[in-house]
Amino acid sequence: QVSALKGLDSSAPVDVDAARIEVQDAANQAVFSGDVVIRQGQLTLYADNVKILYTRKTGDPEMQRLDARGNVRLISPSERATANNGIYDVAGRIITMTGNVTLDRGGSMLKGQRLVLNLDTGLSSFDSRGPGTTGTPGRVTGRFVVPQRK
Amino acid sequence: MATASLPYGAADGAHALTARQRAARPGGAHDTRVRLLKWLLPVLAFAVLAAIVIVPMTKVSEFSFLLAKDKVGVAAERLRIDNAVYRGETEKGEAFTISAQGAVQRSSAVAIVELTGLKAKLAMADGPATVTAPAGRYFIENDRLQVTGPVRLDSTAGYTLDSDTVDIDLNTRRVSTETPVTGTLPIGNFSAARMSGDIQGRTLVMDGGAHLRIRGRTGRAGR
Repeated sequence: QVSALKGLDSSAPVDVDAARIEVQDAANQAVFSGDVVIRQGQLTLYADNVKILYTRKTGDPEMQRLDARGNVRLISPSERATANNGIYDVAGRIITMTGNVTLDRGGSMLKGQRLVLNLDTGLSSFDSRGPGTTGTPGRVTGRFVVPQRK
Repeated sequence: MATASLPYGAADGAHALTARQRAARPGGAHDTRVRLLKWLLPVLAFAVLAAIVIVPMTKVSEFSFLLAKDKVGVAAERLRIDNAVYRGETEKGEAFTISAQGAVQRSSAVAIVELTGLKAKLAMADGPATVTAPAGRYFIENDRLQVTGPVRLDSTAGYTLDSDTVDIDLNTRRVSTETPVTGTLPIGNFSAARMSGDIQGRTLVMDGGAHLRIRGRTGRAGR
């Protein structure tokens, strides 16, 4: 099943709401803390803390990556995912969620350790490898809902 | 003995006198003139003396006046300068200049200069930083600027703030505001309840509920 986030325009402006924002221009990063809400197009991401890294090639800073930590929830028209951490690789157009990931898409629930959502293809791949580590045994469990055939 | 011919006493030859002799006879033209002058001149002298004494007292002389301190136009403020430039140095010895269209110091007791159309320029290690604001107050003793309205801070990063009052401490190079603030940063526009940061925009903290709209890669923030 293809996510509604397929073809999300990663270069669109990002709206961020947070209790506290700290911009560290020298380190080319901005740290958001306290009920952070990130919106870009149809993607909405909730987290306790978010760090956005950007680069300044042409003088105008460009957002490169977005690290979300703590109660990360990703909401899109087609699915809801929760995890401990989330990484949105803006340049690579890939969202990776790690740590007790649950994906709820149209009623079917998937659980695992790592979810990779490719914004170009809209497909998401689930695996049970721990975040960043290789090959820790884990299980992907899922409950699928079969659409009633009327 | 020959009679000395007296030019004026010759009664017999009256008709033989010259005009001058006739005029000199008693009762002649000269006598009447002198008799006239005998009373005219003293009277004139007295009149002139009287004039000197009486005239200043009678007429109200309109040009003399008494300088009354309260009636004179007193300047309200102690010091008014137009196109003022104030050059100062922070405790660390870094030079800064504050130029303003108008600068007014209300009174010498209060070491605050109210500025309009001000622009502060600070020499910094990596280039000058300028602060531009429509109006503000400069606290002379502690090198602090309190500006109102849209404040522009140009430096290496360059960002603008808009808030009721923005405090700029020239010594510590910090900018802060306790009132709701909006502004633009290189990475986008923000709004927050409070904000503080350094003048160059190296590190800025916005809290009390902040919103940042990060510019998209292709378009500007407002796209």
